[in-house]
Amino acid sequence: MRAIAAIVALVMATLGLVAVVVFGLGDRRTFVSPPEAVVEDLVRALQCRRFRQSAKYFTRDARARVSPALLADVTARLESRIGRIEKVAAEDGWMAGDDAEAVAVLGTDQRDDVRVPLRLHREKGEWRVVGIEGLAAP
Amino acid sequence: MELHRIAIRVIFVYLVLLSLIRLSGKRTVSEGTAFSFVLALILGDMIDDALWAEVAMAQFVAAAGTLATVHLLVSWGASHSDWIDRLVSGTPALILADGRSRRDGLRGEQMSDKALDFEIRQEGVDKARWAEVSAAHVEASGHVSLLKAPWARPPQRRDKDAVLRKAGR
Repeated sequence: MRAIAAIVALVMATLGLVAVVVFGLGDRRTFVSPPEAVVEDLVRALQCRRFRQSAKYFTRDARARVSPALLADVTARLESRIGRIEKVAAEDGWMAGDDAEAVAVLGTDQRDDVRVPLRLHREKGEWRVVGIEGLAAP
Repeated sequence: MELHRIAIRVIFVYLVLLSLIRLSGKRTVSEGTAFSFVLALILGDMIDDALWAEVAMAQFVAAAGTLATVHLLVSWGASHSDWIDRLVSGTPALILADGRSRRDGLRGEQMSDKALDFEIRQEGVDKARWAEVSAAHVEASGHVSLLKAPWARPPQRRDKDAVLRKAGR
């Protein structure tokens, strides 16, 4: 039982260290998922039609506006314009304070890669997408 | 993705895992029980996500810490209860007794006669000398262990003493 207490203490101490790095030292890319990783995960979730699970990639404000049905509709309209998404990648864009932009790079069967910029905001230390305007009109 | 950030994450994940495994006991990743295999499998997947920043480091620490704690609780349960130990580690299966293969044991381990032949041969006993084996088990770790018949064991000092006693010296 002493070992369990030691593990709990280790986890708490490590979480404390991570909190100091993220909130105290303002880490935005090392101990948290960087903007491009968040964007890539979001677009991959949309590609796989996991609209309900996609909510976790949005800021609190955006979650109130972006429903799973809206995401399904936007994805369907996007694919009707550019073709079925077959490959997903992301590149980093700019970062200023708690705001950033990353670019989703979508590979389809019909045309060259389509680049979709998405805005992000840092919320509770983690990057979250602020809206889907970029996906609605690439 | 900058290389130095990957290096920082690798070092951090390595140190966290090393500490967790050291604290959860030497047998945590000991060779091949179903128990440690499951732990290694889950940790392996977690590390991948943490190294490529697909999850925040705090999430990795919480997940790995929870896993280590659960593992420790199950180990503690197994060390205090035979029933839990049997449930998580399984029991040795008898596959050869007194030089003869045991059908029920082999079936239970999905082992063919050929596989049995191979396993026993690996222990240095070919089929012609199976009579020397009093019992062979597939242990919980998946390894095969052999018990030789008393007459087939290499002579010990006590055997010499017994012979001498018999001879009246």
